[in-house]
Amino acid sequence: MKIGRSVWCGIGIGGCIVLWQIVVMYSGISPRFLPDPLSVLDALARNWELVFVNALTTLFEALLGLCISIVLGVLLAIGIDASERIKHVFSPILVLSQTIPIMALAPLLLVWFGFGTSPKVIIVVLYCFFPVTLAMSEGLGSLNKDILFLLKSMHATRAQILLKAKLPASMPFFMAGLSISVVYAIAAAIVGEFVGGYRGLGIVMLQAANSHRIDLLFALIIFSSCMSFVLYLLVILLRKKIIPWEYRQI
Amino acid sequence: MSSYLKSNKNITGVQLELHRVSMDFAATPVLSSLSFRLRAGEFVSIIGPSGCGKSTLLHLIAGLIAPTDGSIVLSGTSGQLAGKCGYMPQSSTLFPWRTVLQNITLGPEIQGWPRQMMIKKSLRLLREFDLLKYADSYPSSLSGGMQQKVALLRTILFNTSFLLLDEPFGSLDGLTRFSLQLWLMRLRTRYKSTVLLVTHDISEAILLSDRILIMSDRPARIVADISVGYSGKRDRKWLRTKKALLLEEEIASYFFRSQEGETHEDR
Repeated sequence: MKIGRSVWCGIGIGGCIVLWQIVVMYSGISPRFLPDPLSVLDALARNWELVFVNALTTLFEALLGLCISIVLGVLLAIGIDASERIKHVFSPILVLSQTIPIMALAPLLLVWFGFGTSPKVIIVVLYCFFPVTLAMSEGLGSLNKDILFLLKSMHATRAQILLKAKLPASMPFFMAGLSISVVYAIAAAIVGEFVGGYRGLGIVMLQAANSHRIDLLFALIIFSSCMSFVLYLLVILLRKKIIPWEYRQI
Repeated sequence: MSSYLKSNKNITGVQLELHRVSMDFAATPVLSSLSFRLRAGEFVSIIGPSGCGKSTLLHLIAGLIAPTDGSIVLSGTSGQLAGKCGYMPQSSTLFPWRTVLQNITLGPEIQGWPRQMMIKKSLRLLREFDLLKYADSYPSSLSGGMQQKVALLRTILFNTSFLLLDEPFGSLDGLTRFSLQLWLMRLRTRYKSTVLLVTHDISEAILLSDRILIMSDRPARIVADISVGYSGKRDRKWLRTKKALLLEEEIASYFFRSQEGETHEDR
């Protein structure tokens, strides 16, 4: 019998949990520093309402930042592809934006924008828009030269070339960039919340750490990582809808 | 609207005229003073050594680049040539994200045909050339020969009157190539298209053409304009006739002559 891919994934994750349980049982490490998986699950169940409400805030910040990143990234990539001048102006800024330690930028954003949603969303954008922009630029430039000649021989306008050829050709690249960004999004929102805020998983994590509730901290880390994983899976599902030609063979 | 996908029978006389056309790339001459004409309905092949500028010549006629010198008149117009002919580039240019039907409607979409008519004509064309069952398939699921058929239909749906084909069968195996050559003959007979074909294959040129133009090495000139002069059925038997074999010999001699010249210069 052939074992499916999801079964192998389950075996991998299940194996890690079993290994974790064994380490806790036989290593002698205090549960105050390393709780066992069942205690973590118990902490999650006991604090479910707190986790869920704050997760919604983090999810909102992450998704809003991700949406802004997509719009910014796609528009910037189209601009870079369309004009050499735009490319020369924005390429160094794009690279520079990634050399800034975003963690260090967070307190500044807090001073400028306060404790609300804005600084978190800006941090998510700073983390997420670069992979989208880079992947989209690659995709737009990847169009076969002969396809470009074909369209020009048909007297296609620049808008027609963009809509009928360049954008569809860049979709596999875009989805690759998006799958990287989506994994960053939740973590970036939590980083933003660490610096200051009222709600969110980052705030609860700080509170749990300060009150030595390590089991809850573990539960929050695992829950936030599960959120990222689910978002990533959604992107993979979306990929099949957006680029069916890479999957369908009639 | 009634002119969509009509055969070329209304166009008579000279359809393409090149007059002393030259092309330089970064001060390097590629084409040197080319002059020739194509009458409406003619099938003309261009043969020349690799890299001599055959594809550049097609780019000029398709309006993708402008000549450094000389003039090109296509279907009575000069200047803006883009959109005046059906051009099929050398590599596979079917859009992988479009189905067969969506691929062949690309040209009409760009020309702004009404959607209903575009679909109707495209389906009719697919049915006529035995590709209807592949209408919803993606190109990646088709064989190389089938993909070239679809690309040819896309070209003809964009412009039936004048086709520029850049080595359309170059990447196919011998058997598939021969069947595609016959298929192209069928297409051309149906629409009475004027065709300018770039090829490396002497037999292909003899099988399909009314005339064969031979280009020299760079800077390319037309060194011979050979009339095939055969009005009978074009098939494998025709290629084995004495006339066809003599033609093959004559065309090949132009290449051997230039190669011998190179060898002599090397010494």
